[in-house]
Amino acid sequence: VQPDASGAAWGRESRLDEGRGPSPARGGRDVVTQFLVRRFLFAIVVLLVDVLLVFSLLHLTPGDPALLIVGGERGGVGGLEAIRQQLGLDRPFHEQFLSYLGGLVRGDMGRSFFSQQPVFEMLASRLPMTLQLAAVSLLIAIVIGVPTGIFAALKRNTAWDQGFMLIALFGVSMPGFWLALVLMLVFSVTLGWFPLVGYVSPAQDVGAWLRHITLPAVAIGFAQSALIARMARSSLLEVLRQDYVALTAKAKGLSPAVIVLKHALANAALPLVTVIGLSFAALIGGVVIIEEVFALPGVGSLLINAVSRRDYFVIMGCLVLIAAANVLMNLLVDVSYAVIDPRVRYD
Amino acid sequence: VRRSRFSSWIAGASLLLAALSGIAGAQDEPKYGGTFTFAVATTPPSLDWHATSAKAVQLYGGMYIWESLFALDEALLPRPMLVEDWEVGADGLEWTFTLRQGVPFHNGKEMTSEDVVASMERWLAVSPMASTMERVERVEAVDDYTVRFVLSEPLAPLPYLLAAETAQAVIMPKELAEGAGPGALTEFIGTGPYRLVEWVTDRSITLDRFEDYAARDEDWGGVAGRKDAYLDTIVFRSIPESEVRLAGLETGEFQASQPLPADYFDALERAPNAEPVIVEFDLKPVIYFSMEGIMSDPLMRKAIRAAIDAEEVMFAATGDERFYDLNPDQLWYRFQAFWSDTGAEVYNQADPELAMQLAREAGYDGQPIRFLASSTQYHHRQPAIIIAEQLQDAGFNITFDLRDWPTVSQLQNTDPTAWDFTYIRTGLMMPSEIEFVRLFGFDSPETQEALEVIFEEVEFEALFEAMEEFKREVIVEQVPWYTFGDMFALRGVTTDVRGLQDLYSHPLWGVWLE
Repeated sequence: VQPDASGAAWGRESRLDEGRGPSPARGGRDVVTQFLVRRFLFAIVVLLVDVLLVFSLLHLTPGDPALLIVGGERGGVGGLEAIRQQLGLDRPFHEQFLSYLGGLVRGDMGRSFFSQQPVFEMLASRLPMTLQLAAVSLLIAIVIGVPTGIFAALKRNTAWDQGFMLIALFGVSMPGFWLALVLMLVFSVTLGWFPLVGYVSPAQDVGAWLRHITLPAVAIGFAQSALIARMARSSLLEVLRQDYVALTAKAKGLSPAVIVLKHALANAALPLVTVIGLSFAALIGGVVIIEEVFALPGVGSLLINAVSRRDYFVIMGCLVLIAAANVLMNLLVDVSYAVIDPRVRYD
Repeated sequence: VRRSRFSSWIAGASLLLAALSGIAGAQDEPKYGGTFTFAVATTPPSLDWHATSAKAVQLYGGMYIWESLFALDEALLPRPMLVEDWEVGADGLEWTFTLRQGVPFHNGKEMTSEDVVASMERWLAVSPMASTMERVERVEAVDDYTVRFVLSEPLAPLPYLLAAETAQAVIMPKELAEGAGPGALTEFIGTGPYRLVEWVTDRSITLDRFEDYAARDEDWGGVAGRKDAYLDTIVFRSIPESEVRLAGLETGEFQASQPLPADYFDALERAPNAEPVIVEFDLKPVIYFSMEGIMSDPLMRKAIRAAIDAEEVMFAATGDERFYDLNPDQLWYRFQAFWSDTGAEVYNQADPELAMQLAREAGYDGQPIRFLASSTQYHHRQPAIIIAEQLQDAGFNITFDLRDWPTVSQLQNTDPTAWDFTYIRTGLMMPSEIEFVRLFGFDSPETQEALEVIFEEVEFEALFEAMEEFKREVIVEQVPWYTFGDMFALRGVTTDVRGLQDLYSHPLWGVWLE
């Protein structure tokens, strides 16, 4: 299941025609409200479909949680029925699903089969770290990616352009875990500047937090920056070819800096915002490998471990969270279009 | 009173781990304090030791938090832990245990017989190993410090079973044990030398010294006897990447890492602040045969056995010849008292011609043979690939079914028609565990007979002879499984660590930092 795919699909469909109807700036608040309500209802439908699909797939996948609880590597020996009964796995599929859905509506996401911790608490304790990692990674990606993309666009078809785009290609193609291990080897083992693994909350110690989160954020951010740089370059090139930039702005005698920063960049921002917004959503559940390498207690590592032991409610909880993050980011991206581009209409 | 008779059969078993358990740096004076961070591949998803047989529950939490009535010493023999003394009735049907007095739980309450009764009742209800004690009819409190086990039939290895480390029958406060179903413990309170401070699922387990711990005086090694908690804090960290487990030793963030791939041995030798330790005890690679299809014929099982080159498989499993022992005994490690070379003639035959001859006698004419193995478990994938290749080369038509561990585990346990033979890792620590040959459907009258002897017999010599008979009749002739050899593990430790035993379970009491 790719919650982002479904979210992105209907996000694009409802995306906004240009040049018709009242703009929000001109008193279209009702239209905006209708749009938001419609999107919210869509979001609920998407989440419900997600829950049903994932729940069904989990129950169709071989692997018995009860067996894995008693089992260990040497295999199960006994006491399985008692555990299945206690976990509710002996009930028919539809009963299990309705019971889960009922709990979900009441805000009860169930408990881990293994640790007996409430899934909500597990997610609540993991989410802040994942959000911080995603935010810092994205910040690094934007700081590196946007200026690089602009520079490459302005110097298009020069050695600079080709050099930067080659680095970007390298960044997109390079496996994240490999970069993570190289960063560790250089900056932790050899230079000793950063701790190798682990996480400290910023509430405890901001300096320690920064030292712990920098390497994983760079490992993720570098690949993302490559994507953003390529997107920034191509969007900007597209705009720079338009008549209002290529002819009008120059004819008005505007300086190249004003042309790029005030006129071209603002118009090239839409695809960039889309990429950045969806990247953030993808990072909520998509930093699994980096979380594993740096032994970070995030949502991604929670999910991967839960899958490996068929901890159904934890898997469900993680996927509901990831799906919700994708739906929310799609919505925010769409809403942000109106802020960036006044021609956008909410029909 | 049969205590002395029981002691005699365990006393006969004395050839064991002594060579492995030399205590490093004994000349140094122990120091209190410090945090010891142990990097492991994965911390357990549950800490309910009663209800799960996962080794990680014991190694990374359980054995520090809790204690049982008995514990295994460095030679894998049971020694009293929470028990002071014990007696066995003349008919062998009543065991009376006198508990140690003044042993506090981490919540401050003193352990008494009501806690033992409640804990044993919970264990009998939720433990995957409960069937080993199905002869226990009831456990009752005689007085505050005396507990009686009433049996339906004699159960000679009871102290052994109480010390067994798989889903151990640990003692917890009555209030927590009562009514807690499998996996439903809400608090983790025991009498052990360390108490649980924090548990981040799949990431870390943090334990602090229990200042009021009531230590025994005896120095028995292993996980038995005296436990000196020198370290203030122990942290087990789940570090899935082995490269990172190694790197953390070099940066000093970890004091020990295990498991490590054998090919890190040289890197550890070169590291200025860390060193390698070969731990000569790990689970053994083994294949089990399904009794539902083509492998139900013992001739076919003998044919597969004949084709296997065990040395090649062990090398694939470890990657280094220092990390395995071509042990012909299909049951016991070489250091165990029951070890013998009975059956050596059918071990590591590597004879494809004999294999095909036996297969033809069994009527085999090229039908597919399904080999089920895990792609995700440590030390499973590589040896399984080699086994499949060897059998294919010998002329068997092997269908290699490589899946993730949960799927493999379910198929092994619930659907013996879905595979013909399967790979797993196991290791027997006590006589009653020969029952493991029956794990996936194999059984025979001779196996039943051997188990009966184990449950009744207290004399070591008679027990040894019964094991030999079992090897000749069942292991050699009926081939319930095939073990490839003994596997060793690599541990890395920093050079400031003192007192760490070279035991597979690496207890961290008695350990200090220089």
